[in-house]
Amino acid sequence: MTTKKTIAVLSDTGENARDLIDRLSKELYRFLVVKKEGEKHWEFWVKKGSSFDIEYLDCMKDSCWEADVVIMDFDSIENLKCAGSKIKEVATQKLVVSFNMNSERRENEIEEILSAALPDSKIVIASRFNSLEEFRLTGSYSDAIKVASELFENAGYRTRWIFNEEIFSINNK
Amino acid sequence: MYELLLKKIREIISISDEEFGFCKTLFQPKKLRKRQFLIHEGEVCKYTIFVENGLLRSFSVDDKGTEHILQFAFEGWWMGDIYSFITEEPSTFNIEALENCELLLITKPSWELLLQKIPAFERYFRILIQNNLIATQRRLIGNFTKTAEERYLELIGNFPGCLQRVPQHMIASYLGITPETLSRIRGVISSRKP
Repeated sequence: MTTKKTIAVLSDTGENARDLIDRLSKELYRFLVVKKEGEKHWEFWVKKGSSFDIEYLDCMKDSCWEADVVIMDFDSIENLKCAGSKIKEVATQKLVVSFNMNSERRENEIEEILSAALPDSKIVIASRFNSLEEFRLTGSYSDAIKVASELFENAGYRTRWIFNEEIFSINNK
Repeated sequence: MYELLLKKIREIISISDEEFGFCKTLFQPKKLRKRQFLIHEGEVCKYTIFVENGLLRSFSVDDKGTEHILQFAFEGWWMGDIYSFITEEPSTFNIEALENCELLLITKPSWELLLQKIPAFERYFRILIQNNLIATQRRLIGNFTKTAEERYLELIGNFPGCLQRVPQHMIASYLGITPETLSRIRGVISSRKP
């Protein structure tokens, strides 16, 4: 038997997080989704809950405390920073994957901002690359990028890793 | 969140607030709900676990499906599969929460960094491992030389809260006896009381 990984999902518009989770195996993962008023994809999460191991919590901190991995999908840097400050205490040493919100900023810049909010977490920034089926994963911890890559590949995406600003591995599935 | 960890560490070694500040950054806080598993048999035990709150048990399951409890871990205790943690070989047992738990987990790379940066932790973990070895040897010898009643009395003497928090059949499993035998022993003990 395998121990299920618990993933906390913090999002507002949440399209990237929604797509990723939709493709992950329900046997391997358990999801804690933080309820948010006006969540655009709320119906998706509720529907998913009938077949997936999903729970809905009100508190970001509690969901991240219980999680092994945190996924953040926010549409602004301000929201990202705000979420970071709420979970800082319980996200120590945890993998935090944040989707790039398609801002003008480069991944390294977003990583720096999030690392300032979560200095003891292992941050990985995920950006769509070339096609909808490929993600570029950027971070400062190779072990964290590896775990994030396994997560994305389990969802059927191709990944390209960027560690210390160098592409050191390309996975083509 | 880290008060009990600091207290337990300072019972054995002296460390400064600054050193403990660094130590805290290496632990992963983790809540586990009652009946959830932290690891299953066959997985690598990637963490050494400190129990801040709650109760864990480690156990293995034999070919007949019978559970054998190796250890309980109450607040302030450490737990893990040290063989699997050090060698990165699959663990031969399971770790499950018997109550809702608040845990602090440390991985091997973080543990090694802690030992390297604050050498006093070498002494701390040596003493923990030493105490664990002594307890394991005493338990093993006790299984050969002591009666089930003596082992039961030793258990409740060492861990008074155990009877209120651990189901009877698990105490029996820990002692290596059947629940019926445990029930008989309890009856005998209670009949002796004035």
